[in-house]
Amino acid sequence: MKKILAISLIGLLSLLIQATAMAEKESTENTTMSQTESSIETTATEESAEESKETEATEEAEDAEATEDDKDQAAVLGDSIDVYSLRGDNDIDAASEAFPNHRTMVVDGGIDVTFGDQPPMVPHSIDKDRISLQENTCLKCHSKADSKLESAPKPTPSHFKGRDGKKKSKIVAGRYFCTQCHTPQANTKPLIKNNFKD
Amino acid sequence: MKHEKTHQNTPPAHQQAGFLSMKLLMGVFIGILLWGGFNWSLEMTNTESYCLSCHEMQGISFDELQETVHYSNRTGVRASCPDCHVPKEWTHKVVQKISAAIRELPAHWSGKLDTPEKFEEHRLAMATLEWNRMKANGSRECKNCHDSKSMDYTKQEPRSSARHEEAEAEGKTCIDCHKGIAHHLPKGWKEASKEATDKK
Repeated sequence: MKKILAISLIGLLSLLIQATAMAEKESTENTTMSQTESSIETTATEESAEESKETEATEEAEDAEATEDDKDQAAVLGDSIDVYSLRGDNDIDAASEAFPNHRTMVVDGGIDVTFGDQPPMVPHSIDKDRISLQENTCLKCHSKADSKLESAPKPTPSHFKGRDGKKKSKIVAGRYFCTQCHTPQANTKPLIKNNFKD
Repeated sequence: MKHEKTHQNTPPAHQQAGFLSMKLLMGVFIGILLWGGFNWSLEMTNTESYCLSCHEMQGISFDELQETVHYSNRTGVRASCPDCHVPKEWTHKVVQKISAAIRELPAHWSGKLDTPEKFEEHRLAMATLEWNRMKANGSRECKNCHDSKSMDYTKQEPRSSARHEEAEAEGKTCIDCHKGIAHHLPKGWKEASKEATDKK
């Protein structure tokens, strides 16, 4: 028990030291920047290089001391250390990082559904399609009348059932916006592991 | 006396030849000016910036075009208004220009389409006009760029190549299936487009 306490204390102390060092560095950086504007880039890069070296060193030391205790520490401090928003840790007024450009997956014969009531996914690009009050270009092929000719799957009867439970001749408003449920896919690495089983 | 009179009226032979060649030169010069001016004005009115000088074109038509693959795409090749709406061949071009002058200029001056609501009201009629024109000329303007001889079906998606081969066998043209590719479709497009496609 005493051991754990001691380790956590060391961990806390090292964190504090690191934080003060960072603050100092930032202030010095600011002063140098205001002094010589022409040499901003070189000094900034040098400083950041030094900084990263030092922080790496301190981090390593900290890791060695406090790996077992990370969870406890987070609980004690009430904040977590390695949490970033979806847009990364760049400033709020900075531009977000560009997403890598992934092509839409084209799967001949369609993508298999993974559970019973899953809306089938779109196995082709829909870049050229538009859905508005005037037009729904998905229905160029996927309407009841054209689906056979275009060998495209037609909407299931549920799409024609109104809120009163009665069958309508046209796709009901609640089901009109295809992409609310049916989305195209890209061949990308999953962000998190998925253990879903039907 | 007689001899003197004729001598006075007709200039000497070398003067007469000079006058004739002057006339010829003037004729050629005026001809070049007129013909060149005509073709120049034909070209001037065949640019996108000219089309966009009317606000009917700026607001809706051009905005819609900019969303499509015919304006912005992977390779940066794009179609401008006259590429699709004005034929390239001289006679067809002049016919199209005259009919446009008769139909569109009065519409512009009378403010037939000067609000988005009015535009939407006439969209179906305007679209049908273009569909019928394209259908009648075998999608000639599409084929200025999209040549079926250069179209490699093996490089297309299986779905596309199958449908293209079918269409070719049935003697269909581009516009029969590819409606609403550069501008939005009007309300009631489905029924109207069937009608336009079935038209012989």
